Amino acid sequence: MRLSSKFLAMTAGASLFALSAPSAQADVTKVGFIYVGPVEDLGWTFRHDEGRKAIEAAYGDKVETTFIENVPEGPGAVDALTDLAETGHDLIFATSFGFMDAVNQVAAQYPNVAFEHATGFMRESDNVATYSARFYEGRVIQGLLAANLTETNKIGYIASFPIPEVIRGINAFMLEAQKHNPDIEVEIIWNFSWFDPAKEAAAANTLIDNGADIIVQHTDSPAAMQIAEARGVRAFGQASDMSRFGPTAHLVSIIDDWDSYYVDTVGQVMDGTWQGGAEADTWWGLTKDGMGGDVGMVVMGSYSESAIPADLLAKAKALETALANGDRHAFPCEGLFMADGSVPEDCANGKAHLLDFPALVTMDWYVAGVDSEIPS
Amino acid sequence: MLISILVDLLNFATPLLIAATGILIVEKSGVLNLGVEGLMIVGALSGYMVAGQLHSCAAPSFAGGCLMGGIVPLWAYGTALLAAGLVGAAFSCLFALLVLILRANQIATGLGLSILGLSLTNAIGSGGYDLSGVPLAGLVPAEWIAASDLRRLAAMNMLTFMSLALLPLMLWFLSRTRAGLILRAVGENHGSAHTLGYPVRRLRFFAVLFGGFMCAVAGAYMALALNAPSWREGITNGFGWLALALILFGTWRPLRVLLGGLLFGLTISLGPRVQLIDGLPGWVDTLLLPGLPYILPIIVLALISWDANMIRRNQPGSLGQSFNT
Repeated sequence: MRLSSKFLAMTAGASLFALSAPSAQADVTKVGFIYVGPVEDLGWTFRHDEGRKAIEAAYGDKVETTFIENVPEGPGAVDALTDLAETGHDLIFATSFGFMDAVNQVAAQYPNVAFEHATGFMRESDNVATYSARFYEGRVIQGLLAANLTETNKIGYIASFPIPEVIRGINAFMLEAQKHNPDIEVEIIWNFSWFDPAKEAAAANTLIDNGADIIVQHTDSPAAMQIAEARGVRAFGQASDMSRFGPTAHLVSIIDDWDSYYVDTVGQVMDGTWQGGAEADTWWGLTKDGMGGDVGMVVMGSYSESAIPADLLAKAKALETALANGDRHAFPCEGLFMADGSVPEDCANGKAHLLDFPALVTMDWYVAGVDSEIPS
Repeated sequence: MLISILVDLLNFATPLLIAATGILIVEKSGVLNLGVEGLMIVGALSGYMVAGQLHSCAAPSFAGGCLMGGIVPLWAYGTALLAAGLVGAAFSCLFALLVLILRANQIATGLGLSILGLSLTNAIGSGGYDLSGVPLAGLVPAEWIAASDLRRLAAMNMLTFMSLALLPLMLWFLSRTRAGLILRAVGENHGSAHTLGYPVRRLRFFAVLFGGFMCAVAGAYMALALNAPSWREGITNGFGWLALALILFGTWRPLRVLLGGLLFGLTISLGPRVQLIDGLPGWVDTLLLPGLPYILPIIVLALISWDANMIRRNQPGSLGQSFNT
């Protein structure tokens, strides 16, 4: 675990002045982050760190930010969170699903600190809020592109952990892809890690060997994109704009954009309007409100104009607009079946599309056409 | 498909074979160095930084700045490996000092070296060098070849082929050369070797340096050549421990170690592939395959422990003991 030098300096400072001046800098809001990977992963953690920088840019001297990298998921995160809470942070962002139990445990002990947990769903005390991005909206667009561009009808999918967020992505992708190409198949390799370049490269090679000509990844390093480039197939970028890792292979990247959410949240903590608790969950997609409002947490970056024909590109962009302004939902009930052939509960109850809760939030089943088993 | 399995097997076996060659010589001299993981990660980081530095100077004419586009040329790769090896040898001096001169406990010192290496590299970080997106030059430029399987063969690097020759070379060194026989004598019984007038401590010192060199080269290979060049904390991913297990699996015999390295490489390369086989139970790829390189040495050790003679014939007699004169 690497601490930023700033953090070390602050820890030293905090312990020196702890006795004499417990709230010496009350006008400065201290914001801490714990990251699951290194800042230079060029994917997931990199984008969260860009969000941290956006906070600094927005508030200047009024904020102080700290981050701790490579925090292990699970009980190990408790130490890192406690460190931040003990050193006077007012707001702590925990940016990985696996920090869920640790966040709720530490939050209960520090009721005056605001905790924001990315991609989780547990808010056991009033000082915990959760937030997540509707990345699956981007998967719909990837599904359209892949269905039209594949020649082998085989898509290789590199997945991290079998959690709802990843399963939603696979389902949204295949649901759309099958509408445009009924013969399309997806092969999934589970890496059980978010960031492991060697493993991601081996998975990409395996999928290409098996005939996949488009690689989709839900892992954080650019290794798969680099392998796709080297072996002459196509791939989608994940979390950040990965076009530079595969000049010919890259089709489009789903970019996480946490900037406006982070800036908004820090603003709320500053003026005392921040709220956590059972209802405090934020879920933005391509737009904040899903109705064509401000840019949300998901941005489609660098559509390849060389690899995607003009008419398909126009379709993809139209689909993006429809998803952004709410004309289209990623999981419409029309033609939606689960892998076992049954109709999901929301659809059986006459809804137009799957509802956020519980269907999307707890999704643990594949749509029809994903011929695979979810590992336990 | 078969070509790809073979390429992955050899690619993953390479760091194991290189590190195991170093460990073999150290252990044959009677020293047990458990700091392999630390030596490897130190080598990985220094190799990555040297390659980054050389690349940024070597290719200033590439469009978009010298780190983008272009490749890591072979000479830069070679220099980075060599530099990593030297840093590894220097780092292992610390171990040699503590163990050979100050007679510290070898197991504790080795474990300390592993922990130190990991935390040191975490603290330093990549130093701002960024080689992601910069491929390593392969044997043949990829665009010459159309078939995507064959492209993988062409992208392999010299070190992989050289690593296959290392252990046979060690067999020859240990059984056919005077220096090799003396090294073994020192490892088998340092008291007798000393009585015969061999400089036990000095020989062990050189063995430890050689081991540090090889382990660091293995680490640099992982950062630069195992896939596209990349640095992350803990990138050696337990391969140092695997290499130590490999020596046990091969019972200190070079050719058995070579065989074991290929076998370990095979289990790693099959990892993602078995996931695509329908109807295979989940524990095969999540538990059995990743565990196999650790389970096999235990089985081998259990088997040879039945017979005290077997141990005596295989394990260096003075392994792990400090030398007091």
